[in-house]
Amino acid sequence: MDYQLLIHDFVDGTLDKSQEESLFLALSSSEELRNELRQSIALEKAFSKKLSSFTPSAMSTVAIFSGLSMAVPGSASAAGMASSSKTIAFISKHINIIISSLTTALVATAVFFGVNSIKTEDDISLPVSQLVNRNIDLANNDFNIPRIYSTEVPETTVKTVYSIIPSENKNDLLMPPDDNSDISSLSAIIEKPEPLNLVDSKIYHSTILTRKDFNYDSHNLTLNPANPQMITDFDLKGLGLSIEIHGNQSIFQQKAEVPQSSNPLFSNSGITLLYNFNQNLSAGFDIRQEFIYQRFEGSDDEGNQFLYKQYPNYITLSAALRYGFAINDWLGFYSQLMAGGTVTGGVLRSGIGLKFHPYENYNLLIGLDGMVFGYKHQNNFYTSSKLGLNFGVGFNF
Amino acid sequence: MKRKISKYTDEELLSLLKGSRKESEEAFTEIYDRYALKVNAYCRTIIGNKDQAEDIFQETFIRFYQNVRSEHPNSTIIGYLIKIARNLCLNFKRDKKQTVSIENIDFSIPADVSFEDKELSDLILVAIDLLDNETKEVITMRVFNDMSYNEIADTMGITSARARYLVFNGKQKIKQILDPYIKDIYKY
Repeated sequence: MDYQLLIHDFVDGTLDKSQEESLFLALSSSEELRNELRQSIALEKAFSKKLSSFTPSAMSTVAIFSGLSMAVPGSASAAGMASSSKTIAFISKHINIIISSLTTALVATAVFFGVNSIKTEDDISLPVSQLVNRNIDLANNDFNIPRIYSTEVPETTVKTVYSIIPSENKNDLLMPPDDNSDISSLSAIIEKPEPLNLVDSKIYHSTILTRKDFNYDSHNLTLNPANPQMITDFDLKGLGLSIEIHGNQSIFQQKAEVPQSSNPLFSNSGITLLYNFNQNLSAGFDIRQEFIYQRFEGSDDEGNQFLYKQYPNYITLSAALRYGFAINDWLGFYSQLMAGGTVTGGVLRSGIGLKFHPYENYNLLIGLDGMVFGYKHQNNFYTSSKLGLNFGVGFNF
Repeated sequence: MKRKISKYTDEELLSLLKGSRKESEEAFTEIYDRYALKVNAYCRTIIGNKDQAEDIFQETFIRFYQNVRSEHPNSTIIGYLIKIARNLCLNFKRDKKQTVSIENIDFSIPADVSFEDKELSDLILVAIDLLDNETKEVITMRVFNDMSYNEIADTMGITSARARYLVFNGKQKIKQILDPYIKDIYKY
């Protein structure tokens, strides 16, 4: 009997039970055969150990997946770095999270602090505390400034401004701005608005704050998000499309000093339609209806300066770009950028969040969503921004 | 809860590959995770040169994806992958017009290979490289690719018994080549 062959088959895992017995008997009495067995086992171990050294390079992995227009798996790129230090491997493995987080943090920071810090000539974005101090100075200087309180009229889409202007001041020109006076005078109005007294005051239906003056067609306000049920009834399986219906809850924004308009059909909600290029990258558009608080200045034909505060409900249409990746089989991370606008100005939005997908074609989203809204009025540029919680449900087709 | 794709069988992954873009991408990624190491081991062992082996390795997976979307492989995924890799390796070698006769190969470890501080696993490739092409392929498929003798036979166009013989014979030769080092390393 060829015991070398039996040893080979034993180590190879192909020796049957009956032959095993005769092999073990022979091994018990032969040192030479036991050495043969040791050699064979050592060789098998060496084969196994050698196999682990054949990890494909990260470049090969990238080349294959890029060649097939697929997203490069994170684990594969990490595997390519297996020979490097643990730190490099860790960074490589989590490079998606690191890059996405840094990019989003950078964009969010720019949006909230960079763009929002653009100061107009009148600098109406001063903190409330400063406004209070200036209010005192103003009172001492006894300026006579037209006093304005503006808001939207409920149940209509047309913005109306009540301008309460004491008759003795109507034709007074606003003093040219100096170091302290101009904005201080306006802030006085903010802190101590005059009660609306239609008997003692003249009422102007301002042409400054109407939708028309913002090139806004009031009929468009009635545009409503499509019925989501109707959308999901379509058989779009395999098209790589995602539809998300989401809501927003503002958690940080400028303190609103006027009430929200009360007429929107949908409030802080919207729909995002995305085409998924691959597992990571998606693009599409987003339509949402949301409240955006605005505070800006203007003057009428007679030179009277006004401070306007309004809290209208806008329809925002944006192009969306999203980058995401799976953390595990049921949880994913995403970051997204949106650029678009309302009829009165541009909107830049960024967000990060998590996607929970217990089933393949269905997912729940929750994340942070920040936006800045830029608009012009009478050649001055103003911004409003807010940070909110974004939550919704998505369907993949 | 959705079943983890890592739990899918090869057959299920092949079906998924023909599904939507997203499904096929997921399936391909899983197949790559499972078999990239083995396919790369085959290419490296057969070709020898790392850069050229990497090119063939990449081409293997790209062709696999393109082929498997339109036709169902008759073998297992690893068997199908190795068939593609083997054809590419053969084409590559033919193009290189290798003229070295197998009879001229010296079955001893080259003198310029230093064994100091080397482990047995580091010497394995040197030893495999000294085998004839057929034995080298069969050994690689068996020890690195975990292919059954039937799969090897199917891929190589030989009988299962011959595949088994070649593996046994090849390992005996490797043991002979590495015998002094095995004894030294394992001190028996």
